[in-house]
Amino acid sequence: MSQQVETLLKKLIKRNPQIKSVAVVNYEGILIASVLFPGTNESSFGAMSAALLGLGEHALQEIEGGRLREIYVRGDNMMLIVVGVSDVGVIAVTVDSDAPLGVVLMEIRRTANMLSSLLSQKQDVSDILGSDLSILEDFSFKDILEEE
Amino acid sequence: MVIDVGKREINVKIVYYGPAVSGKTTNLLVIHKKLRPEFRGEMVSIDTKGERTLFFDFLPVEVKLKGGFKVRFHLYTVPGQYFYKTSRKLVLRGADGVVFVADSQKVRERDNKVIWEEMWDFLSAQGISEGDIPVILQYNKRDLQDIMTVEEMNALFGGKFPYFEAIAVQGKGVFETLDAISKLVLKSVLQKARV
Repeated sequence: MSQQVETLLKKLIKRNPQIKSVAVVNYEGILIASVLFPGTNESSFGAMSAALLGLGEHALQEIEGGRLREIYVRGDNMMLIVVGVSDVGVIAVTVDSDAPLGVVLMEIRRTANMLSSLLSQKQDVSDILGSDLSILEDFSFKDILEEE
Repeated sequence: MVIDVGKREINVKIVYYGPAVSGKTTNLLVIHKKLRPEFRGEMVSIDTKGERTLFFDFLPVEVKLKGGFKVRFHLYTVPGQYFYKTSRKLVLRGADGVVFVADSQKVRERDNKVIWEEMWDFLSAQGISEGDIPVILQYNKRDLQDIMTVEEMNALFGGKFPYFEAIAVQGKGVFETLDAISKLVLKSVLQKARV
């Protein structure tokens, strides 16, 4: 599934050169797929996007503002736009600060709609379900520590 | 929890919860310092100028198990000070497992109890009851004077949950706790995927 999502994200970037990075993050902050600008830490990007989402939702709740739709964070050079994807999560996009916002938003919302149906598809987890859970017993974090 | 069958990847969220200055951030700092770099990402902290957690600390840890599965543990801490209640609620959302880091000092008994009850209120609001997700207790600061006995701590938290004694600032008990919660969480999410 993440391959299909990644393909959608790459198409979004290809159509819109002002878009530098794009990621799909679920509400728990876990990255589902991403196409990120070199040097961007994907786990951190996912965590921050979900945090923004959570804060935005809470702020709207306080003012009875309804369902969260979008969040904008504008810097001197870049802008971060977070758009809700039904009840799955968000698509987080970084764009040049001077990008034509109307066009970019239209493209992001279109991608969000396509993602919504893609992400609601169930995956066949029988491959994982067939795993021998005893593999967990042999593992310890103590085996992967730096040498003192 | 996110399972990507195509990539053979399992992502799970573990939250370190507890009252202020109980050692939640210290746990993550120790994990970050001691784990080999190829198994962890960089730690992200949103904190105050006084290095008190303001929103969360975040540390991704990635391991490969037999069978080629990649498991990514997303470790979070919450801010412990009372007025950051909303932040704690937000960070706890979607947790697949929780480590409750308790401060063993007798003077912190009430703080431990209040934040423990708050955690269950927030979990309940998400539709999560006892037994739905793994919860482990870490009785930290076992090196200090005037601390509660393990029996007293167990009585405080109901005596139903696995616990580990720790001196997180010395690294003691940190990886024992992480081993336990990670195994319980993986077992739990894989069992849920069967339903």
